[in-house]
Amino acid sequence: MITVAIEWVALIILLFTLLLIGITLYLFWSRTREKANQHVKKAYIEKHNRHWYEYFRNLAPFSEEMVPVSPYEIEAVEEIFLSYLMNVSDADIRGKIKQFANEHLVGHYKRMLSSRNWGKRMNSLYRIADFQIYALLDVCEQMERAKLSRDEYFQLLKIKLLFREERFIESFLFMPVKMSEFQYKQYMLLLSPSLLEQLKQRYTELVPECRYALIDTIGIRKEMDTLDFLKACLRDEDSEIRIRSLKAINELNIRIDLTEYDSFIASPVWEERFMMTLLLQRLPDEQSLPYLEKLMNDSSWYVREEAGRAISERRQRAGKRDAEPAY
Amino acid sequence: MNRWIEGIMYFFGWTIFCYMAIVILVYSVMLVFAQIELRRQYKLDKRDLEESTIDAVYSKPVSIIVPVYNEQAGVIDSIYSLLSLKYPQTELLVVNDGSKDGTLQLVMEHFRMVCVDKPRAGKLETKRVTGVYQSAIHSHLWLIDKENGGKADALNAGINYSRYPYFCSIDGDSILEENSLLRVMKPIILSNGAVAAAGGNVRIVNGFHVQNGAVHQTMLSNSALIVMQVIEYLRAFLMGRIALSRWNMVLIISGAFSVFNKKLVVEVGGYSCNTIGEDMELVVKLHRFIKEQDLDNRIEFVPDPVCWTEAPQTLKGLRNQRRRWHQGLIQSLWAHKRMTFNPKYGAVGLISFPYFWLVECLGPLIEIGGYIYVVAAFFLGNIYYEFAILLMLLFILYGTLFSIASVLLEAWSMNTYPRRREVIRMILLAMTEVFWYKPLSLFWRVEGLIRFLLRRKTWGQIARVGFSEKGAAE
Repeated sequence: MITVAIEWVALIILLFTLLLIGITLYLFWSRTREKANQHVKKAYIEKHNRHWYEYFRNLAPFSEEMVPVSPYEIEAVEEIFLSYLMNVSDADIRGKIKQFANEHLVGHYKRMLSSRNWGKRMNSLYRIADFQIYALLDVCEQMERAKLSRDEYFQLLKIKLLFREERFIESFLFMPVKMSEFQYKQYMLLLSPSLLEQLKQRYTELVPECRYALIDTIGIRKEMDTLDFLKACLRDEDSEIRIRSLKAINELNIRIDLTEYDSFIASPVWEERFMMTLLLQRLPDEQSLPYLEKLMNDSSWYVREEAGRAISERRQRAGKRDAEPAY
Repeated sequence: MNRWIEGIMYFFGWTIFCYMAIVILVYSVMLVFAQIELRRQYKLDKRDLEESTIDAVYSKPVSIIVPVYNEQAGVIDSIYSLLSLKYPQTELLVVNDGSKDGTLQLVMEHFRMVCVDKPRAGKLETKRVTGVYQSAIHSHLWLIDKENGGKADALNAGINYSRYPYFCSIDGDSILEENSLLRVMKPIILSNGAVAAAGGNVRIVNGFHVQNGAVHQTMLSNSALIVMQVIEYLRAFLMGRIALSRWNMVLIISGAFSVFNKKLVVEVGGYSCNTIGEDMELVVKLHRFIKEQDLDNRIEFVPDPVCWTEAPQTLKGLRNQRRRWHQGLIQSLWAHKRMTFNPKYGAVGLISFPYFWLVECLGPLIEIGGYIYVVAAFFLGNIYYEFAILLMLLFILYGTLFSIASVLLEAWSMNTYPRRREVIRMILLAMTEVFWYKPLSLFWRVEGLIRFLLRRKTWGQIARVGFSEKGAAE
């Protein structure tokens, strides 16, 4: 029996060794090929970087020579385009990138969209959004029907938001996967004012993470006409909603009517009291100082520190005013 | 008498054979899952995600805590690497745990630290803090000077003074790549905080060219001992942790580089100061707390964010490290032994704990037994001779071929060592592992087991030479 086992183990080792030798040879071969391909990519960038610059700056016309022929030349074009998109916000350059991508890169990205490799599909979706390849929108919509990962669905919906805004809200509200707050926020910051308004009206249909993202976005975008909406959120049972609403109101840089907020100064949630120390700083001294002094003795170190900092700043300002000569 | 020997040899032979068969099977499954996971992300362009995460609007602020004790050789490089991290909102807390060398003075002078009155916000018990300093150059760099209490105590002090909801623990002898924090935070940000802790991939920096906290040239060390550790790290991180992380069964995320949800860590009492392996102990405590409180949190390992750390260069240093690690591992397993086979703790109790007991804790003892068996069997002849050959083949399959597979997996997916010569050198060295490195490390781990049984608490410190060519202290 042992002899049989030895034979089996030896056979497994032999097969495993052959497999590893095969993988090693494949790895070295693919590295050599990759090196050659990187050389092609580098050569394209060296040869055409200047041409693209001149074309983008309207210093020279477009030349057919600039059209990439191999996948590695396409990668080189991606590098060039992405560096412009990341560093330049010129609408003309963006328009030229969009036009070129829609004319010459559609086939490449379509092939990548149907790849079995998830990474390649994701790369294709990123580039469709970056280069605004509207020629592939129908293909993207067809993809939505297939079983997708959360990241793919996120990117597909982002493409829809960028290029087919009118179809976004329904897909967003009834999406089959649950996104993270981070992802919801990415959508929110891209929403047009009319879409943002639509989402506010359908607030109750949103999941909590999406509500948090919406409130944060209102604060970041300083949407002044949303104060009533934020005030309504202050009555929410979820303390996270209340805290974020207070934060968003603070971001709006407005003087609050203290009578509407004074319950938060004695809130059992320290984050709410902390947000109140920030909001109080927008009020005149005679209104805010009694509350800030009370918050100086708060049970939370963060509240005490912020209240203390606010009081000392006020005292410094008052000291400066006193020291100024009266004319 | 002969029948007795025959019975004993028969029993041990089959025990070792069964153990090896189980381990090989488990490792094979892990290898397959690691390959599937890495293949999924193969060629993925991560720039888009990183670019969006880098915006403070989306990310979560992180306090970086660096406990240091006699780290004057590498501490400045470490701080520089952390100051140059690509992350929108961080504070950096260097906790000097009563160093006896020039660590404190070096940091104070280099970063112009000024004494400030910052009260601690947290309530974890620690040794007395003797001073809190803020850098006049980098306002988000803090230095907390305290009495010596060990790494866990220093980390707890850092937690007490930290401001943000997540903290990242980093060893004073480690350096991060500039996008490592972004990448390790990704699962936390994308999970709405469901990921309670995430650990990154730790690699060995010895032999590399490091300047001002950045790795400029990746070059495999000339020392065989270091290269063997490189291979060992690849195998542990790429094969083991990727697969365990997939089912939320990771019991170890390296203390050298991991991010934690501060609230949960404080709930479990912070780092334990009375255990040697404080990083594993914290992860186990978190798993236990999550299950007992019926929370929906998980702990993940993220393969691509890289943290570079200095490995022991001498056999003595390596021996100290390994027996300390093993002692720490057993301490944690023993402290939470009730979790073993306990369905209340889900996969952690039913799979992770038995796996760690059998393969990680008792494995070295059984494998050493296997080596002794092979030697004894050759002397006894007959059937034992064949059994010895069988075990030797299993050792080769388990020790050598899996190591080679890990080297190739790394070369294919991450390509840290781009030179063909270096990959071949690693493969050749992996072939020798079974004959020298493996028995040595098994012996040291058994020593750790004995030290645990004898309740020994002292361990040596590893001599650091620093990252930069001339040494950072200069």
